[in-house]
Amino acid sequence: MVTQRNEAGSTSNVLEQLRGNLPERRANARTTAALLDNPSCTRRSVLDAAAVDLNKAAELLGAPPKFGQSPFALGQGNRFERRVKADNYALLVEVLRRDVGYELPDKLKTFSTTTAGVAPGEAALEARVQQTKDALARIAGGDEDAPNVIDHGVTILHVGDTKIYLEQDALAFNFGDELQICEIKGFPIVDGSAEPEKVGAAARQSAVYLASLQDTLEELGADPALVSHDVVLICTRNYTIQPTAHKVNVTRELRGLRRQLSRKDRVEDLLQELEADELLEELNELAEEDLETRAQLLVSSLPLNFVPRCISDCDMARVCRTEAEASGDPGRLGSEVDNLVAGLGDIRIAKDIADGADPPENGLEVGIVLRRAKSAVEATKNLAGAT
Amino acid sequence: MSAVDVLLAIEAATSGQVQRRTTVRHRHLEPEPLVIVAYRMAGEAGAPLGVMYGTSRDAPSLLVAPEPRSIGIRFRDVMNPFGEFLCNWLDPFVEEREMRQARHRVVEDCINAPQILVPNHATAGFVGAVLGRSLRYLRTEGDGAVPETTVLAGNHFTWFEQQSALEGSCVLLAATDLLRRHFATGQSDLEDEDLHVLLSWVDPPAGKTGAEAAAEMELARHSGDKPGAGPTPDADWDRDVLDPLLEVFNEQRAGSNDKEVVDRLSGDIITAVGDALAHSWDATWRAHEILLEMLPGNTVEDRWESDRRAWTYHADRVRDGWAFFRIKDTAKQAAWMISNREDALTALEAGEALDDPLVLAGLVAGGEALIGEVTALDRDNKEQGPKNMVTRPLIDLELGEPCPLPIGSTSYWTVRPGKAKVEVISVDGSSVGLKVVAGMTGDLPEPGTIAAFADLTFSSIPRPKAPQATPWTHVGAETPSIESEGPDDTE
Repeated sequence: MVTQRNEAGSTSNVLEQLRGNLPERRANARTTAALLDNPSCTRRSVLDAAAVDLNKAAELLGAPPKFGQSPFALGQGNRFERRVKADNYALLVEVLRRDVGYELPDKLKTFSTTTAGVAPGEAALEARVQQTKDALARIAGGDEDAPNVIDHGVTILHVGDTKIYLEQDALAFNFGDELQICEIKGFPIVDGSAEPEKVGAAARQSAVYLASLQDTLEELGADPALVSHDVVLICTRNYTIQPTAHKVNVTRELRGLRRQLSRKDRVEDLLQELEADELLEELNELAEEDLETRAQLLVSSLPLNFVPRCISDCDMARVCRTEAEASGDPGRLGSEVDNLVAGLGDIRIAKDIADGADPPENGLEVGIVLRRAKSAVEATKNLAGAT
Repeated sequence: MSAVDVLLAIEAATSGQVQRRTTVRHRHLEPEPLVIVAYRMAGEAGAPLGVMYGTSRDAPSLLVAPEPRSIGIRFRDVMNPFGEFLCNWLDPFVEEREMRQARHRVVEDCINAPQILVPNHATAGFVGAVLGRSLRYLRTEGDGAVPETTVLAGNHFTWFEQQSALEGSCVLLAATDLLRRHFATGQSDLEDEDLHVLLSWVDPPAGKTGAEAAAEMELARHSGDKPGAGPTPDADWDRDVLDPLLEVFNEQRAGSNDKEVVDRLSGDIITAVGDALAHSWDATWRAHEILLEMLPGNTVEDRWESDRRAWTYHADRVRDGWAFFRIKDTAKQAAWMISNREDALTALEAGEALDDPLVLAGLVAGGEALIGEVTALDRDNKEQGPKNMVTRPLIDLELGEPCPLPIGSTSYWTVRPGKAKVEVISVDGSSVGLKVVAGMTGDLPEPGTIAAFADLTFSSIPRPKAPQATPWTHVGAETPSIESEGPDDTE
């Protein structure tokens, strides 16, 4: 299912107005994969949909994130990618044959999109989208001269009624009758296993590429099942700089992403719940150059769902954490505290109940657990022989 | 996380003060462990930039590879000397023995096991898994040969990694893990992994709450005033401090790995790395100091004793020149390892709960243990046994709240775990009738005292003898063959 971009669509209009002159960030595979990070966070969903640059907005709010990549990590990643792709992908072909048993011709036909003669910007992206589509059409149509590799293709993914251009740093391989996504990553696979967080992040990102490839094929009238759900990760082997290839099945991530995407009206619903019109009126009253107040008002009007993992995933994390702390949000302390006392909504209430205050009607059972914990601590203090 | 832990986290968050999770220390701590703090090159999994190490806070040693991506420099300036140091440090632990009469023979036990302390979980992984795996298969002859001590150090590191996977083992400890086990902060586990911030909660400067000190420390971490505790340096430090220095260094040495050239040009990088690692060094020793002040629990030494036994086994293999490790365990090894870990976990949980009322409280709050006042003890109660009348003392316990255990469940008096076994025979509101079904001849809780009962033992579940050959159900897992490896230049 492919949704068409609706230029005059009220939702995108509202979103654009919400952002106003706040710094804009173009969505990419990483931000789209973030749909899977914390899907129940309204704040993140709306700000992402409105293409607000979260990093810059957090800076306006006085709590910039501390992310960023070391120049050495960046350099290593680029060197590895160059090495693998050198000499018409010689090394890549070798590991794909050796490690995952792919049958690839000796003479690869590669295809890379180009922007020669087109002005940069949306037009250039559109040109690359068209080139990528043409190449895919030839592959799907069984053209004998179709490329085996599409490098740096650009495809489109529709999120709600926002159109996202994805620059695939992934490669699409065509062998037999299957298209395969192949991503070059800088982290090592040691004796067949790698850090789960890194593999997870790579899988989520690949699922985004996979979804957009499927949509493109469907648009071309081809079978979306042409793209395999097995993504190949090219990583360094053990502690060497030699490459190794491993298959990762991303069906689960893809399903999760599709579920998020199919809630295409969700931003619309969210905006309705928020009574965005009133918010817009308030925002419009602000002075044009007063970006701090604008960011403050917009962000604080959007309900947050802070969990500790946000700190490693989201640029807004420090802003949200301060708010979560001020409101006594149990989620701030992690899922185990949250599981027990989420219903009370505030850890200060939980503390009072443990100290003897009457629990509210919806918190009778939690009250028993907290009191029992408190009395167990007291009782064990009197234990004979206790130190 | 028990309900007590949840409560403590809430109390820490609402008061801004750290809460004690234990009344005693549950891990063995050597007064002079080997402390290791390290940075590695970002983007390179196995290339250390600098290592600061030593067994005395006042006398750290420092090794720096000014360009860790060059194998020549990496091995000459860090890996090889560090490997040699480790082997020398471990040598007395391997060699110093005491005789013990075992069943059929005399065995030579190592006198003590070594202990390594690192700032955080990530450094433990770097020292154990990464250095272990990346060094232990290196060649000692031919192309890219390294000294034998480097390879042996890799095997030692692997032993530390594998042994520390046992719950309660104390051979390779992370300061963040230790502090978290003994203190509850008002932040999440993820944030607790930053040693500097965690330490601010635990040990705030005078006049500040833990929460205030931690917030300030976090700002210092953000602004770059306080570098990260490793092993991956801050992206900011990499960009602002290391990158410019490295650029100058690489330009001046013009591709030369010559010792004389490198030594002459690397002064600024060594100083910068040393300065950055010093923060982490001090924090790790401060954590050591705080924890060493706490009294150890009674069973801590029993667990250290199993570490010593495991070390002796490894040390024997080292003496025989046979301390090798596979890439992947065989099915039998894996089965043995899993049951070992299960036993270690059971022993740890029981030991901690019996040593520490605050840990026991977690079991009571979860309905897994009973605590109350003994209201009556009938030592002479007799009932009909299989043949004769037998003594089965009865205990009445007043809990003050409904009994969480069903009739018929059994547990042990916590003063005589594994011996004084009781069965719940009646429940009347908050008073419980218990019958002593084992260990009736020894001490029993006296009326008027507070007693606790929990199903805690130290005995492991008996397991059948492993078959000689691997059964067909467990064959087929590929065990990659070990080939010697040469290190790679990533320059």
